[in-house]
Amino acid sequence: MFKRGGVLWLLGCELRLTWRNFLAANAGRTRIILRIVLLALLLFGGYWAARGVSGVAAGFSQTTLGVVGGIFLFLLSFMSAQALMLITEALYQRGDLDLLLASPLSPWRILIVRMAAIAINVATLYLAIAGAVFVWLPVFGGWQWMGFAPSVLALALFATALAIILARFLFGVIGAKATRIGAQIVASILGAAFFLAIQSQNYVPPGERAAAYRALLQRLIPVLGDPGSPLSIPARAAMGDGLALSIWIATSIGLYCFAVWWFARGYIDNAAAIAGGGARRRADLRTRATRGGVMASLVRKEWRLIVRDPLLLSQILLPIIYFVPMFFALTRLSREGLSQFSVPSLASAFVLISTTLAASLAWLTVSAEDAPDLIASAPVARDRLDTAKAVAAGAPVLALMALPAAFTSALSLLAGLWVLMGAGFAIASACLIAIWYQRPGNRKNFRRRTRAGFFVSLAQVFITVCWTGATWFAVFGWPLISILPGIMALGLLLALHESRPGAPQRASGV
Amino acid sequence: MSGALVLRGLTKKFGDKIAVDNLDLSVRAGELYGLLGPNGAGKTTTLRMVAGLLKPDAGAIEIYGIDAGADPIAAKRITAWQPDEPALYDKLTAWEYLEFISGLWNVEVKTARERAEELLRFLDLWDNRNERCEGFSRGMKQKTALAGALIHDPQLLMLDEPLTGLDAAIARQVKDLLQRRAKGGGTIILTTHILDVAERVADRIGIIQHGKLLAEGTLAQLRGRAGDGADATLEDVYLQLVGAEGERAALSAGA
Repeated sequence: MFKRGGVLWLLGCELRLTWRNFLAANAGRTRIILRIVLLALLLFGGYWAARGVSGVAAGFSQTTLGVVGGIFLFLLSFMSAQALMLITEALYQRGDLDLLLASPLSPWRILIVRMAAIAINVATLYLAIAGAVFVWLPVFGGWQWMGFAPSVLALALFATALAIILARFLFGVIGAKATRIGAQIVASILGAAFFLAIQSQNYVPPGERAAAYRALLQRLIPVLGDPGSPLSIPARAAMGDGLALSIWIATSIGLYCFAVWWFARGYIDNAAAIAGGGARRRADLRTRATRGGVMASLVRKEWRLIVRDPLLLSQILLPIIYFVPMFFALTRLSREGLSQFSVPSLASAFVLISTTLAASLAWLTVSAEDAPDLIASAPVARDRLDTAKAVAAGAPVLALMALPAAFTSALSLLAGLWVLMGAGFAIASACLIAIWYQRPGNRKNFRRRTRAGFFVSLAQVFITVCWTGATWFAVFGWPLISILPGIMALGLLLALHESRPGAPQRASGV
Repeated sequence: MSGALVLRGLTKKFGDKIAVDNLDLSVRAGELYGLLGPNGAGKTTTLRMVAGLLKPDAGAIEIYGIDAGADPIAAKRITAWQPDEPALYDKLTAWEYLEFISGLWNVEVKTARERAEELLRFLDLWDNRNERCEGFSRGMKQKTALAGALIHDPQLLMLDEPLTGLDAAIARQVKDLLQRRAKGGGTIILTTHILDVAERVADRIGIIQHGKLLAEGTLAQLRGRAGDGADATLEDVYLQLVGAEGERAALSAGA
């Protein structure tokens, strides 16, 4: 297994690449300092967590097992979502997969290693958090929790196995090409499932909420917390039951091997279908006459590229799912007779969404240009190019915002206008920052796009907060107060403008 | 013939490495000029500076009398640059790509459509005009990019390895097209590693090494410079010149 071409040798190569990518992504003094601060905070949090849990008596009470089981269920939804995303990426953005599959190694061996690397990737964050608690446990004598970290690793393997099975199922049901988008949607829903479930409480009238909680817990805890139930095995494993830990690890490895085996069986067919993703597609049988000009050409080009990439479009639009809980909360406020708060909050939420969308689109149009040399060699001033790209990013979002603005206008005419105004400022800010702090990127790496740096990102968040705040105050009926956050946002924008880097001098191979 | 491209003391450094070193070069209008040199010699960097993609550290670039440093937009208007890797948009069709390029260069719509049709037919891409570039072979992408470079009828056309990935028949067509353009008064600079191509199509050849112009002239002049006989091929001459320079560099480094 350790010899060249063996499973562990391959896994070593995978992990080395992952580690080097991590190092490359975290180079620079600021990032290193931030990591150290984060580590210190984690250890600090871990200290208090370890102190707290060490006091929990050894033994398996229904409540403790139920709570730990609930945490594992929560982690499972996140891990499965992340694993599904990574599997889809590994299969579609093939990278070195073709090279590996062209080697004399068996596809089964290659896939088992690639998927194991995904499981390790998925587990890393949670292991880091668990590890921060783990190191303090001996200090407080919390030996009963020593099984937590290996249980989390097994959970990552289990979640990866579920994601593999889900991906294989999607391949079978909707086909290889549609799976790419289907998996993204399923993963986003899975990731948001827990939040959405929590927010469903807002539909329960306030007077009945406590009773509803009790009923839910009474139903959940016996299922997850019954020491005799197989569903309590992960929780018992986390709490140091040696037998349960062995069973939990063996089950995860078993399910993982089965999932990879099942996946590998159909992989050759799926791989062919995936590879056919670039097959010739006719966009239109007619050659239409269109308006010329730099602005029109650039805007049209950007829109075509975005609209024709459903995967990208789904990645841009899916984060809106995470706003759904907010709408639940606002609906509740309205029902509770607090519409004077809910309408401004709704208006602010629309401004927030518009910034998120505009920032994503502006990154695509400005930083993720597929042919930067071609654009740079065109006889067009840089400012005009940037303006065209900002229009391409901002205009559709502003048009999209017309709908919520109309909806808000139905509640209050003035509120609709404030929404449009707030969204307009927020969109313009996002586009300007994208232009000033552009970093060349590839649209295929949209989810892992390089941001403009810590302080710029922080400023961007602050500007967004300012515009949403300004909208809130304006809709609430305090337009004069809304001037204050507005001025703060403009001031920050000015500061960002003044400290922007010069035009990037492209490095070139000689 | 007047000077279509004049480079004076052009210099570009990347850190400590000098990519282009005080380069003087002149290409005449209506000339097909072959720029040759080993990997890392500075050919692409030179062309990227002429195309306005890199700012020189020193020196001047003049394109048809326009100072490219002072008025880059005017210089770009009459220039086209095609890199060795075709810069296409996967999700655009070949027709849309040409439509986009003609928009960037502000070509009048009717003229652009006529030229696009002419180019696509000539390059045997007419039937594929409504297909997205993502499904194209390497050769088809190369041809689409070439059509893009020609759509605004540039006076100075710079091509970096234009024949890579083309099949023999299309490569022949492209060579004919380039020669025809040169005869019609257009100026073309091409870099290539296929010395046979440069030997057959180029009016003059410049050999560049370590960012400096090593030798320049017609094949006959280069033969004379290298001390080769009349039957020597460009490959013989090139290896003789580049090899001798390499030996000189090694000797001076040793001394």
